[in-house]
Amino acid sequence: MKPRLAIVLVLIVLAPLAVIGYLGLRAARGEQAAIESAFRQLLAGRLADVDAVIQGVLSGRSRELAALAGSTPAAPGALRALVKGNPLVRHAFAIRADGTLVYPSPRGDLSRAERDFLSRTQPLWDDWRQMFRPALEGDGAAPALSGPLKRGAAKAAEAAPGPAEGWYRYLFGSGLHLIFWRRVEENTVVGFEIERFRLVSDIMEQLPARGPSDGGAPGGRIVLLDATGDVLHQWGSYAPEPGTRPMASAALGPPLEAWRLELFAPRSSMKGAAAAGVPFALLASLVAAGLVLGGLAFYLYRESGREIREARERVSFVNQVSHELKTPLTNIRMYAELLDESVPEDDEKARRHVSILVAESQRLSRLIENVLAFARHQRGTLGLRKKPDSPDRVIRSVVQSFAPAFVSKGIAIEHQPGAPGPVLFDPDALEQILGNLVGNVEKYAAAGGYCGIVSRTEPGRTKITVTDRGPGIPLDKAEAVFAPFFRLSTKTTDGVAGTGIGLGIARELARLHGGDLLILQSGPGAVFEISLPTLEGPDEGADSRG
Amino acid sequence: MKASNATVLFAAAVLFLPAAAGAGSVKVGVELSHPVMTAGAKQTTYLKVSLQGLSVERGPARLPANIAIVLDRSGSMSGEKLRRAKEAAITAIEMLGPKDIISVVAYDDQVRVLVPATRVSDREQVYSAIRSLNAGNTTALFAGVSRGAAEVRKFLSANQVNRVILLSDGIANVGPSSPEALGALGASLIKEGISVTTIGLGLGYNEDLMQTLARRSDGNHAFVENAADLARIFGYEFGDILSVVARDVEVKIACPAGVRPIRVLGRDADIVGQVVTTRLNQIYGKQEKFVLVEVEVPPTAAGRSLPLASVSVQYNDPFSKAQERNDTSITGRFSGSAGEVEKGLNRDVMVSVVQLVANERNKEAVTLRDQGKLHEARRALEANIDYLNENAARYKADSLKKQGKTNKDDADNLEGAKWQKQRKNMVREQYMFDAQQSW
Repeated sequence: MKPRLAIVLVLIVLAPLAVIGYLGLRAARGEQAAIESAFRQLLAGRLADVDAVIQGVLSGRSRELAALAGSTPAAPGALRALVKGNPLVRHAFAIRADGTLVYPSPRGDLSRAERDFLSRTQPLWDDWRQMFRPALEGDGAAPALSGPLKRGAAKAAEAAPGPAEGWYRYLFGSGLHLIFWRRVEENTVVGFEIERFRLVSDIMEQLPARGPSDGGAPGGRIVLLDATGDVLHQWGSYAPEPGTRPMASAALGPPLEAWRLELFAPRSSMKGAAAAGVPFALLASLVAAGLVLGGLAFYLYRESGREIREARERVSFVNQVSHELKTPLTNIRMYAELLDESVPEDDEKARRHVSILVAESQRLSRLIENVLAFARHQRGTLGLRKKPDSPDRVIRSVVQSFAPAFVSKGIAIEHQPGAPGPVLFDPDALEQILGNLVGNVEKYAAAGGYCGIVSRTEPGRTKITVTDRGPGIPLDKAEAVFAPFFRLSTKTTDGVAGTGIGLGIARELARLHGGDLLILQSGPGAVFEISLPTLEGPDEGADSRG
Repeated sequence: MKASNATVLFAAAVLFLPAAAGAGSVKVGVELSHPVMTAGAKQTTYLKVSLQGLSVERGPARLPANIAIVLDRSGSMSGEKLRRAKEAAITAIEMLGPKDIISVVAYDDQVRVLVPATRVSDREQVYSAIRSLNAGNTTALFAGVSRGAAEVRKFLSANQVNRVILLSDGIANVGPSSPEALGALGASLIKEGISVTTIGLGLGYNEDLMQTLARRSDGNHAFVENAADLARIFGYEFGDILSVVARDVEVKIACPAGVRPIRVLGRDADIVGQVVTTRLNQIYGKQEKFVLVEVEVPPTAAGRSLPLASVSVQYNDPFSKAQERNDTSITGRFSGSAGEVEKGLNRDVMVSVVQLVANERNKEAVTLRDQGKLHEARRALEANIDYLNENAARYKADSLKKQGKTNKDDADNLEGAKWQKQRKNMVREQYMFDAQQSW
């Protein structure tokens, strides 16, 4: 009883806590997701700012280079001098619409650097002519902007039939090479191969170094990666573990889309102040609810414990009292019966008084037996004393003991014997069962004026039915009447004294035999059936306690 | 016979006297290894253009300097090394005056500008910024040099010495890290007149990267094994910087038709057809730099002379604030007499030639050793030692004998743990010869 109660109480506490916790966590997670998405947007914005800085460098350089291309004659000498003087230009070239390279001309004298340039750009030149035809011929044909060519300046592209300048990218050796080109005359394009490491250096110069403000990456780290995934530059004080995935990542805008920016930040920075509050609030409410429920459960546990203790004390008190009553009652009963035998036949008045004495003492003894049986049942020590006997003899004895009371209440009692025995059972227990049943007829069904007891022997089983013609028991209460302390509340029972334990004890005793006590039929009158498995002979253990 | 010889010698002396001219801060000399060549045969000879920085005593004592010191503060620098580096930097800055500009950049996996480019007036502020430096993590060398150059660029001027001094003890492992990448950066910086001096400290740095960066930007390069020597090395470097007498030097050697320039020994140069151009960022006072060109001379009849090259040296004389130009031409003479050819031999030029040829062979030995061909590398060095000793005896040149000893040292230290250090020594020596670095 007690461990089960404890489990129930724990469940009462834990179940709501789990529900609250689950809902709270779900809410918190939803909020966390919202914060994360906002945070990621913020990070993406930061990367976009960095990209804008890099785009600023590129557009500044493209303006300078465009001006340089415009002001430099497309001739070898001038272009050579330009390469020597311009830190960003690794090499220069000039090409005509017909595909003739003006500089570096494969037919002229070339320095090693020029030869290297031609060999590393060789695969491009066919492509180049294709690219330039629209730009150089200026016939309004759609510029071949697909593929790697991109406009450097949208304005220029709108104004001219073909693009007048732009970036061209190609991969050679390790990594991305950039070329800026510009149409300088009707049919000539001047282009500059960019010294990419210088471009990286220039971009670095515009990007924040590590400073007190952490340059756009407070508590984080922004990394610029080239096409092969190598780090070109990084800043921000946070040093992520190797293998960490970036919180945000973005490709640069053209023409450097092969390069990538990645932002790393500690996970804790994402939670932020608001988000950090969520688990705390959740935890706090869980603790509060837990305390309230726990307190309630403890109170209930204490209360029920006290009730159980009190009930147990009460039962034990009644038990002791019953024990104390039993001895004097036995004496009273014995002497009353002796008196009954010795009263002269003709002394009608004395005989009636004595028979009442006997009946009432018997009733009191049944009551006490019931109480003691109940107490034993509660302690789990209710047992049987089986011995070979005749059920009919027991029935007769019971009928006999009730006879005076039944006579005085005008109830006819009829016994149809059919179980002479001997079979193995506890005659005291059967007597108690029958006493309770017949006693109930006396108490509640006296108006029917009839009590029939039929015993019969079936193979391995003795069945005894007790029938009355009283008000009966409603079918829906047929089981409830066996519960301890249950009493049907009807006009039949009102005003009749009873403990509410008789039927329960009767069924318990029947079941201890391995049989049962059932209500067969109800209204008009009640029919109880006792069924006892009875083995012939005394070979069954004489004392089998349940 | 004797008289005629003397006459020839006299004539040669008059006609082929090493040409020296110029009123600027650089004395330009043009010499041939073989002023008298064997007649009737196709042959190669060497042309040496020497640039002697004069000690300048006019006007302000020296050019203002614009220096960025870039310090590696990676974890490996912690302790003694970083302390010595800081001391050395401070000691060197002591040499600067109020007109000079200094900036200090430190890098580990990121870059931090300790002292933004500033005039050296409030020294204490500069010093305390340097002293505050602690060691960090990995090495973003490229970003460090970039940032240093950016600081120099803030006050970039043609009339000062623009210089980045890089001190590193580690291998670049963040950002572009190859010798090619740093070389490209150096080649780009020299176009702005910024040279990068690279000082490798200890045995952990990448000497190829450091040497290439210095070479492509015409800076100095040093290997400092012991941090205690840093102060001395910084002293040399600052001494060089403060002695610069000419900037943005372009040497143009144009050969007439028939004469073909084959290669320039030890230096990067452009050879386009008949014209050789090379560029030096600066000439230091009282130091000689030279450009040594191997030219192919067509067969020419005895007794004739042939113009071999016209040499034009242009440079920025920061004292006169003028673009100085020096034009010289040189003519070779041909003789059928082997004795005459031998007698005419220019010993100094030949010593330079042997130096640089032996230097190339020393580089080849490093390449062999890098390929794991230990035996071949040693054989190459031994052959080189013989070559040097032979020529040392022939030209009575102690410098070649000394170079032979260095090669011997190289040959003895090719194996095991000694190689790591020796390779740094070799790369450093090779650069010293190629760039005529004085220290």
